[in-house]
Amino acid sequence: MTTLKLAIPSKGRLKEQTEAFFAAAGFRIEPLGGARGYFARIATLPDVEVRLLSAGEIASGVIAGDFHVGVSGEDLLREQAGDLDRVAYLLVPLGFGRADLVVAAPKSWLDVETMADVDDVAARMEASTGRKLRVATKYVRSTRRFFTDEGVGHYRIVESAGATEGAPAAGVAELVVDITTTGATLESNGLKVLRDGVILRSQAQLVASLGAEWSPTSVSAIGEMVRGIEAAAGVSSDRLQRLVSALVVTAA
Amino acid sequence: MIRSTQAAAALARIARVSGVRAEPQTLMPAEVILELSGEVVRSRLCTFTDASGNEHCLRPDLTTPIAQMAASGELPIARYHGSGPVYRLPPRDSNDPVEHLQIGFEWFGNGGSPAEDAEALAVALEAAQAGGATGAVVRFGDVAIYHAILVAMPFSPQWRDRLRRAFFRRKGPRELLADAAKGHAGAAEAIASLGSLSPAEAARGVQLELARLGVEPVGRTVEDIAARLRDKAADIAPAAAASDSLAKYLQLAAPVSASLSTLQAFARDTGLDIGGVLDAYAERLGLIARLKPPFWSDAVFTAEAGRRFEYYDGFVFELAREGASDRPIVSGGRYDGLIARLSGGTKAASAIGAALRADRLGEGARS
Repeated sequence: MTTLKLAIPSKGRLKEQTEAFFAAAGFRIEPLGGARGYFARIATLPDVEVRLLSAGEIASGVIAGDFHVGVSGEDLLREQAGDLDRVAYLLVPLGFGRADLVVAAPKSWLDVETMADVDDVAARMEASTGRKLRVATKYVRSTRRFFTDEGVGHYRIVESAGATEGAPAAGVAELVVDITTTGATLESNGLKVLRDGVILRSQAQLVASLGAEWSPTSVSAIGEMVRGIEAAAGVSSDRLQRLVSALVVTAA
Repeated sequence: MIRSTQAAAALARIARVSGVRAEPQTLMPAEVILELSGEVVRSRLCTFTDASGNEHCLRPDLTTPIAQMAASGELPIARYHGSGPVYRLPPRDSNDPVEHLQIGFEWFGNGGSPAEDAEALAVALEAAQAGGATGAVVRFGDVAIYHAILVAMPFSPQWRDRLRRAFFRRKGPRELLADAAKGHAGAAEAIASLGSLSPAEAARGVQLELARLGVEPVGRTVEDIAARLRDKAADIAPAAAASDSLAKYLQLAAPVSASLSTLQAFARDTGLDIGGVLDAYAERLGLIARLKPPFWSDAVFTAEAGRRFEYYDGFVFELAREGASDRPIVSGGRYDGLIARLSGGTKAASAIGAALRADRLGEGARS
């Protein structure tokens, strides 16, 4: 891996915003290999090899060290890594792809406003029915971590494949942990976000893998990329130095 | 199964007084463990899913499957011992193997006397010694004292429940009380008016509010929501003095020889009526002293002992090498509520047991 492998989203709004972001920094992403376009290049950064993938694949690839850098949501990165800060470095918050990971309860639960209320209700539920309160989510690890930090026990996670917000009305769970941008979907499903139930305020991140094989070429390519981004934004920071000091660079 | 003479010696000491050998299955429904200990243990469980979506796990200890057999009636209520591999995914940065050999005993249905506590401790410590453990320290406590303090203190019933639960959580009683002092617990919402209503009036109030919001009750009944609103309205935040006393108790630690006087001084200073549990504590210490178990003369009482296992409800003890208290060689204690929980309340039996880790028995000797 002498070149720098960059993974960016392959479809939708995230793709457009990523391309616009790089273009604003003087790095125009040009697709390679026809219409299917799984590969791309940046003419002004010849040592960068661009791959187009889903945001979830990018998160797991960066964590595994398959790519040097990627663009993915912080929510996905934190969910997939046990301890993200040990395997990756959040290089540049991109200001788009914003979404909050939140805990939501049925609006009919007038007595429940906080995580402490959830713990009380969960304990009551277990005492009266012998069953634990169920939480539907795709974000199993983030949920478990947050509930433990907030001192909530007596619950079970029901892994949801899709349409998590419908779980309480369908009777398969009482609470949901899900991603929301405006809260409108939760609202229209009769759910409310708990006052202290924001697990993460997420956005798209340019993230570097600490586990990838870094060579002098790939380190210098990421340097050029970050300097370009900072110059376009009119800022400068020590993030590049901090990344480099966290990396183990092997001779190419 | 037993791969060393040390482990065999430890097992022999236990087997002498621990009835027949129980042979629980290696596989169990993950549900049993998760319902018992909650989602926090999931990251340590070796689980897998079958074609129908049922989740199974490799047993994380011997206690739960043996207790499960007793709770279901497969085994009569009696004394048992066991040995065999158990499986736990190691925490991050730990070199612990996924599989280790556990040797232990579970004694069910003897009524749960201080004499049984003393005997169980002595058997566990003698087994550890027979197994080659050296240079290790006993830390022990009594969850029943914590419960008695909660009852004796002027906490609201709601807070008593919360603090009882928090003992076993990472966000423990002290953190919970600190939050309450900062006003984060959210007890004083605009619901105080409901406190003066009758259950029927409160339910009617909830119904009207749901109609105004245009939502149907989901997941819980209107009556349950109303009952908890009344409960919340009646809740009183802990007084600073009570919080301080509880925090003071949780920080208590004393060598075994001074532990009774330390606890008595605590009761005297705080004016708490916990004489009953302290009498049982004193009786237990006297009986242990007569048995003269190894390691005991340097034992240390700590009020927070037992926080790691949600099912402990009385005397608890651990044996670990100095400076490695998070890697116990022996863990044991009383869990009188476990059979009732596992049987859904259809059965009840006192229970005490201990487990030895064969892979850690020799560690003290090596270093």
